[in-house]
Formats: sequence, structure tokens, C-alpha cells
Amino acid sequence: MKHDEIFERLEPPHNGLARLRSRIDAGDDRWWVSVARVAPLAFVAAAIVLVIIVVTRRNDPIAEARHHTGTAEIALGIAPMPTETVAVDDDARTTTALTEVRTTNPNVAFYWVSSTSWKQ
Amino acid sequence: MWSELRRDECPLDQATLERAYIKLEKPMFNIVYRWLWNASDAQEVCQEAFLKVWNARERVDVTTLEPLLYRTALNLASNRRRSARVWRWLGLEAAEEETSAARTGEEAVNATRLRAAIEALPERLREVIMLAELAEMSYGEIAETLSIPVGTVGSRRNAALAALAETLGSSEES
Repeated sequence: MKHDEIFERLEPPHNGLARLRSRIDAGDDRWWVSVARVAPLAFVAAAIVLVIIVVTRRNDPIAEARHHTGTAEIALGIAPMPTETVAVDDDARTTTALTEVRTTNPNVAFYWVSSTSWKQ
Repeated sequence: MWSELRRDECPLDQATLERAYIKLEKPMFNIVYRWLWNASDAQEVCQEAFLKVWNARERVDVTTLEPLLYRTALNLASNRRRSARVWRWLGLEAAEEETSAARTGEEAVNATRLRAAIEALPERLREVIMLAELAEMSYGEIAETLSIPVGTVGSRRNAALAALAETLGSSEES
């Protein structure tokens, strides 16, 4: 292929100068064009992030547990396995609640034991 | 080649910008076209470059107007190309590149090959070769435009020519 074919010089569309002049005369900063170009992309990115957050939170048992208890208790993290069997006395039935916390695995569920009378 | 505008004194006025447009429209259009492969997009990017420089005219040094315009146009073309790829990837924008439908069979094949060869060049090589061949800039002017050493301009030009020759077969002259 010849040099002139590789670097063929094309004619630009007509009225370029007139168009530029009219845009300059109109004081066309065109900042909104840039915003309009970026806005849909930003919207899509935000929507993707939102979906990820919603899906992640929905499957997060800790996040679900937050609906059932105070922040301070959640901050403790995963408690060590108790050495003794946890027993709820008859006296404590009115102050103890058992909440099922589902996980992504349908065969696995946590049970959240809340008690106002439990002492360490 | 930049001496014409360098005679003008600051600040940048509309007449100076229009003179620059008349002088640079065709080479700049041809360079930007090799990024976007669409005539109206290429013209739009050239106009945006001039408008951007015009909107920043208080800070523009007229003595470096041409390299500034070229640099701005190259940046805009590169950004638009990237943005078009993202949109296409997301499936939200149809490919708008011009086809070679108007050309004959052999010409269309050559045009496709040529485009693929140019597309395969990394941008840093493409900038140099297009400024050298289509804007007929000297190595010094290209170095000033792209803010790279003169030696780098030479090596990138040679690398670009070698890559094109390899992809397209031997070129009669370089």
C-alpha cells in the first residue's frame, strides 16, 4: 500500500468555520453537553452500586440481625461457642426471644437468642 | 510552520482563533478522524477543541496556540473514543463508524485493512505518526505538542512506520 493511500487526506465537512463562529458568537460554553454526556454513565454506575449493596445486604445475616438488636451487641462480632448448654429457664421465658436469621444457604439458619435477663 | 501565529501578540482574540482554524482545520480533522472514523464526530471534536481553548482564552499563550489546539483535540478524541467504547460495551450506543459502502470492493478491503492497521497502533505511536504525516510537523513541533523529547518522537515515528509496514506489507515510501 502506498504512502499517500495510508495517509490519505480527507476533506472535512463544509461550513466548519461558520459553525465555529456561530458557536463562539452564541457564547456556547457547552458545559451542559459534557454533563449530559457523563450523567447517564454516572447514573448507570450508581444503579449498579445500589443493586450490589441491596443484594449484598439482603444476603448478609449480620445485616439482617441488625434489625433485631442494638448496634453495640453487633459490634461484639461472633461470640465464642458457649462451653455449657444454653438453657432458658422457665423464669426467663418472658424475657427471652428466639429469632431465626436466614442465610444464603437454605439448609443453614442461625438462631438469635436475645435475653434481657442473661448474665455473663 | 508556527511562525505565522507567533507574530501575533497576546491576548487571544477571535480573529486569531479563526485564522488558526482555517489553517488547522484539515490536518486536525484528518488526525482526529483516525481516532473516531466518523467525519461529523471528527469535525465536532475539532470544534470542541477550538471552543475549549477559546473559553480559556484569558490563560492561553498565543505563542503556543497551535500545539495547545492539537493537544486538546487529541485528548478530546481519545476521551470520546474511550467513552464510545464503554457505551458500545454497555450496548447503549450503536456503532456509528462510517462504512466503506461507497467504495468499490478492492478499495473497501484496503480501507478496512488500513483502518485495522492504524487501530492496532498504540496511541502514543499513532499521535506521532499522524502529526508528522498529516500535520506535516517537524520533530521539534511534535515534541512540543506532546511534551516529549525530540529523540522519542523519532523513535516512535520509526516504530509506527515499522508496525504499519509489517501489517500492510511494504510501503513504497515512508
